[in-house]
Amino acid sequence: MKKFALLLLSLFALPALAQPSLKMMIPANPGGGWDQTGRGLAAAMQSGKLASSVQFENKGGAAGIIGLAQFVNSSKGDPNAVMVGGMVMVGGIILGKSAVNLSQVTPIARLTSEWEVVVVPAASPIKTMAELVKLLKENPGKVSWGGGSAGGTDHILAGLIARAVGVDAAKVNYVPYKGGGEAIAAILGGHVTVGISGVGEFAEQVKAGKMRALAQSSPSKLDGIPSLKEQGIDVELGNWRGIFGAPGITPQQRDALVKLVKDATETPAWKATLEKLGWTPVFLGGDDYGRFIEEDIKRVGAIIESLGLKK
Amino acid sequence: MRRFKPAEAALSLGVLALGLGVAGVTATLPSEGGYSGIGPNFIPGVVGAGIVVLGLWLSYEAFAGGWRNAPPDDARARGEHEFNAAAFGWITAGLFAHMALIGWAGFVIAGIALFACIARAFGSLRVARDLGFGLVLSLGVFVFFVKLLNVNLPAGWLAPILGTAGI
Amino acid sequence: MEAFDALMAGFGVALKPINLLWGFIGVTLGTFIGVLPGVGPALTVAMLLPLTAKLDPTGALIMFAGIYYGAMFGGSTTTILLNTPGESASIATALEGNRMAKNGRAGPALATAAIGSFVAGSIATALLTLLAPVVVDLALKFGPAEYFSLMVFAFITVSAVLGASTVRGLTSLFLGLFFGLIGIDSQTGQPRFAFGVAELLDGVDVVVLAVGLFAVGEALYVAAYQSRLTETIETVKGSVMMSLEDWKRSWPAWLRATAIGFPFGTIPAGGAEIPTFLSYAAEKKLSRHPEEFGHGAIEGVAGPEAANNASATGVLVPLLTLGIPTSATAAILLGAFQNYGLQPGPQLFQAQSELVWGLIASLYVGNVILLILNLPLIGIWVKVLSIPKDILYAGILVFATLGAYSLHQSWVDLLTLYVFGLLGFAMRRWDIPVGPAVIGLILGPLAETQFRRALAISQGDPTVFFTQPISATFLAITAALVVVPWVVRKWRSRDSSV
Repeated sequence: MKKFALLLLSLFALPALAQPSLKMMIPANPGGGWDQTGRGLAAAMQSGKLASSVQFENKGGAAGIIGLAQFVNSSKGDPNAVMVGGMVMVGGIILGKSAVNLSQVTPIARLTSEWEVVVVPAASPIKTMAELVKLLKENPGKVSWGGGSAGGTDHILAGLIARAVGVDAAKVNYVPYKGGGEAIAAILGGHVTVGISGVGEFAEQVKAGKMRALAQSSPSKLDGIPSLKEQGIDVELGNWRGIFGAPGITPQQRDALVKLVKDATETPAWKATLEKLGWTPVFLGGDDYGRFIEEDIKRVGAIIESLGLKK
Repeated sequence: MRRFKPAEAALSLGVLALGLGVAGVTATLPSEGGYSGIGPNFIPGVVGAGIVVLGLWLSYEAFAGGWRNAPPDDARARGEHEFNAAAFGWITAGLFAHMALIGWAGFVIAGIALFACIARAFGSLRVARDLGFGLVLSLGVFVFFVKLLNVNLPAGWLAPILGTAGI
Repeated sequence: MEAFDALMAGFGVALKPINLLWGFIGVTLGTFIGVLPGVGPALTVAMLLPLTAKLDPTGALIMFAGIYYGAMFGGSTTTILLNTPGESASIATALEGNRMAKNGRAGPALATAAIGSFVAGSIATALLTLLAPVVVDLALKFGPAEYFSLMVFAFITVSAVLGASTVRGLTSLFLGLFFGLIGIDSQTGQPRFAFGVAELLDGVDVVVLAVGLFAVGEALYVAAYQSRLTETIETVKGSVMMSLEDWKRSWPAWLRATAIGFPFGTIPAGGAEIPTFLSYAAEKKLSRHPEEFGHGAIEGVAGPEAANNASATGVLVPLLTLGIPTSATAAILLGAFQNYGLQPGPQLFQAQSELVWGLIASLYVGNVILLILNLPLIGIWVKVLSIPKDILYAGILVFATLGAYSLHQSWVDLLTLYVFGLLGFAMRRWDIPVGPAVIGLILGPLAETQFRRALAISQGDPTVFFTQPISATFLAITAALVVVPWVVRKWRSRDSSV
């Protein structure tokens, strides 16, 4: 306990401390993807002696909006405050009509991406993506898509696929489930035509031959599953996760954080985390990351609107 | 002969008002339901209508001789004493003090205030003892949950002494 | 036979002294945290889980099984003694259990809960061992239409908890349905009744509702109407153990509850709320002492507790064979299993049979340890009731607020808690039953979601509910439940009038 007290004191006395003591906001409850990202990164920072300590604050709920609002309001100008976030937040902000949004925080770096997979139950007559597309074009209502929450990554991918093959995204018959797990039962039981979720979520079922993977959303072939692009559907979608800094920090402070995170991603500890969780590293720092987010907000916003969700 | 009771009438009208409120908000919700044909406003409409009907039914009972099979208004008939407004007030005060304090003063201080107020509500006049018990309990809980189990509770003003959760 | 050998090998490992020790530690910790008012099993398991990380997989599994059962039983203990259920599955227990405690029969109530949990857990574990692969195929046949019909069935059946006045019971149910509407609509992402408050977007948490209605409402009521009463309530009347009569009334309830609880646990959107309330309703209907219900009927404790444990074991069927968590606690279990190197899914029983059977053996051993540890403890738990009221309620509220605050670390949940406390106070004062409100909150959103899903898949064709065999069966049973008693009554009244 004394150590903590001293640390806090030294924080006030020496703002230019070589190893910063970070405060990390994780806008989700412990255990999920954001929590694993944040804690994995913090462990990497510590293993590389890049940060002297990291204090976590988990504040879950509403696709991260609650944590985001708190971060925006309470950490203004704090060069040592960071927050985990990702694509799910982009949709959540739009659907939840949130008063705060991602333009109010400072983009630091994109870290990981999880690709999405399109599956059918083993007994389904649909064998290939082309057959699915044909069915979709004939009668979009007859193809029910089971996946995660409305307006989430899975729903967005269904919309993007439809639009790419020339079907009105608003005609997609998407049936939201509480998450990949609940959707698995609906897919295996044949209650929906197609299933969409993160690659890892369905991996066991695909391996066991209970589901057939038709395509996945990375740029190229992955685990023997052809990508959408390879099959002539121009869609690429990764459920990305990244790090943000506090609102109103100086460019120097931001660059320091970008460097800190970049160094952390080069540690063996971080690589081991990625390996263990099966995440693809897609590092993108500073301004590039900022531009990427702007693009993504536009893309997600447009597709959510065309899905008929934004009221 | 049952008598008209203002509290029952007020509750009944409250239910009715809630039903009308639900119906009012429902009217602002979109109705498109995609392929199901059932939009996000359908079930709220049903629930709102149900609450309105129940509010009318309760009001009818309240104004026509009182709610059926309701407990007696005479506290002694229920084996209890008259409404103790001070006790009710102390609990309310304790919960609101806790709500206000937990964010900035921290879990431990908020817990002490809550404990002391609730104990006061139940007739305790030993303020020092209650503050002491409150301190021991909240501090114990804080140390156990935050330090051992890594649960996230605010340290607040005591952060320099207690530290916060972290690695 | 292969499975049997594997199970025996599992027992061989689980029964090593060191593993038994971990089991005892797990049960003890689980019970002591789970017993804190407002801290439910999901939270308990989540908090204690990291402690198991340092052990080898077998030790971790058995300690974990101990924590799991301990947390569930700890929750029931608080529910019975203090009327403060920390999770939705123990609400049905609160209805009769706390009445028993107030009549000085806390001992038998706790005993029937402990033994009932053990009996149900044992039978359910045996069923899990034998039937897991068969049951899961059947469970997958449940689609949205089937679920919706099942919900209709549940709504009608639980009318048994409506209480003394139909209109007030229905009011309670509809208030619960309304609370269930708050938050983001699962099918379209549309916020409803959240009024821009971010904490409300996720909906009203059933823990906040339960803790508010029960714990805070109880504190307000007792303070307002009973704090100045001088006579001490007799905390223990007669034996803390169950009498012969108690046994006679409990065991059929345990068995019926197991039969209700296990299948519900196995279907991939089951959970423990529906079976506990169904069991309560069944016991109330079948009891030879229906007049005791509402005043502390032992069947009303024995049934829901056994149903809770049976369904908690049933939940392992979809969890292990499909990797589908069907409750909050199950979701945490899934994470735990993955930490221990178990990958739940269709290949689990082939690929990692040793670990699976080790787990099943651990669960069984954990169940036994729970019984051994907690039966002697009942005498001590009952003494909680003799803590002076000022200290007791102050302590309860410290934990109740902790549980609510830990959801979003926000004062908004504390305000919600207080509002539900006021509601609980009013409901108790004017005899509006609490059970229907909780059922409405839990089942309402599920029913709405499944209804709309079923119609989306059928593209708006409402006949799906009648053309699919399982769904149609449920609706037919429901209709029979409503019509048959009515016809019988008519017939009898005509008979007697002649």
